[in-house]
Amino acid sequence: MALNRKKIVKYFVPILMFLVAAFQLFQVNNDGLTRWKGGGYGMYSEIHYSYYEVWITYQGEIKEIKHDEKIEGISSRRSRRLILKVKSFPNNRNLRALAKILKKDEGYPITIQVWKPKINIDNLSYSRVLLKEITE
Amino acid sequence: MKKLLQNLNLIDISTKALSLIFFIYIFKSDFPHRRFSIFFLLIIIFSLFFNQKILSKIVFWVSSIIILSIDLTTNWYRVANHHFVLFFCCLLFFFVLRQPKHKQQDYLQNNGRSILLVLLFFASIQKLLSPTFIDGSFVGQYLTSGGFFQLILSKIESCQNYIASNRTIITEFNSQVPNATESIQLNGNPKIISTISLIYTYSILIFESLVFYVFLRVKNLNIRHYFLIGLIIAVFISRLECGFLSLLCFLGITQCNEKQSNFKLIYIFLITLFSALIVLNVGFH
Repeated sequence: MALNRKKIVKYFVPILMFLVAAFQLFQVNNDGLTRWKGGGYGMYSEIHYSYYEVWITYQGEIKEIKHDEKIEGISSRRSRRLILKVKSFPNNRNLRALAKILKKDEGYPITIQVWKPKINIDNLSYSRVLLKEITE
Repeated sequence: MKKLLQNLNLIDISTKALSLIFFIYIFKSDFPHRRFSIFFLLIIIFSLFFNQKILSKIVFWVSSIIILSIDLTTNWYRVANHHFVLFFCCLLFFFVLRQPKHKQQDYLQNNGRSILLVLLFFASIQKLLSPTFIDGSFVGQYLTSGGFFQLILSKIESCQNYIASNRTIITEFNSQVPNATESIQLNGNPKIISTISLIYTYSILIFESLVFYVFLRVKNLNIRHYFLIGLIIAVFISRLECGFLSLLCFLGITQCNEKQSNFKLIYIFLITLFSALIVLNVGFH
């Protein structure tokens, strides 16, 4: 036991690094986090989340929110952060946070969708796949 | 230069290399604690030119860990993976300097190797577990619409035109309301693209896993360095990931023994090159 504790102290940094990466991998598989972020070293293992698209349907209007777009009522910096967060980590919590800011009138439902590009290399067709959708 | 490197011990060279990488990181980062960072930047410049002993003080590395911790905790899901590596490298230095003098080198070498192993292990595992990587579509996407080999492809006009034509098609398609049943046809020969994509996909996976295996099992230190430098060059040609590559070079330095001045020289040259590219806004930091 004493030896194990000694080894843990000796390799504290790589062990901590391993735990962070393992936690990131867990979030990727269970909560929809992109492989590119969160300290799991999954860069270049899937398409970058900046290519994802966020579409909203509200009061009969369907439109895309780009990450360089400013959302009314919050700063440009916060808008960018929020949209990138929705793209990189499209879970219910982050989508709801965006819905809360975008929804001006409680009487109308808002739908937020995150779409991911997909290439079929056998025939070079390009399409989009729905990754996550919520209606609030 | 070679003699100078032989005289410098591993801790000294690693300290300087890591502080240079940290300096570039602060210089290029846009995190909110800018004033504090500028103060820190001045300390590093002063230490590098006038009093290098400051770099071997624990307080220097504790401060760097604090700065990086603030950055990581406030931007956990925003910062790139190599920012985590930089944090762990600085944390490692804190522990190295707490060791007795005669144990510092061994401690740095063992932990540097373990950091490299964790990094390579997860980089390979993530690729293996990613369906879009394994079926070649991730590489296919970058080959058809740009992203890889920009240094080389930017010089070939036909490739530029091919990528630009596909980007136009994609942009036009993406401007429409998404529908899962709709698709468009990209330019190019599917047979050629899919063959190149699959070959490149599996080359990346095999080479990365091989470097992991070499660092895990192969005892010959020279072979380890050949593989690591091979990986650094391969990544550099594919994508100018200068920030990540300079950290790989730092980890390479930690694996050098007294006789391996040539490798130290190569890593220092590469760190300098990548740092210069970052300052000149070439590639990614």
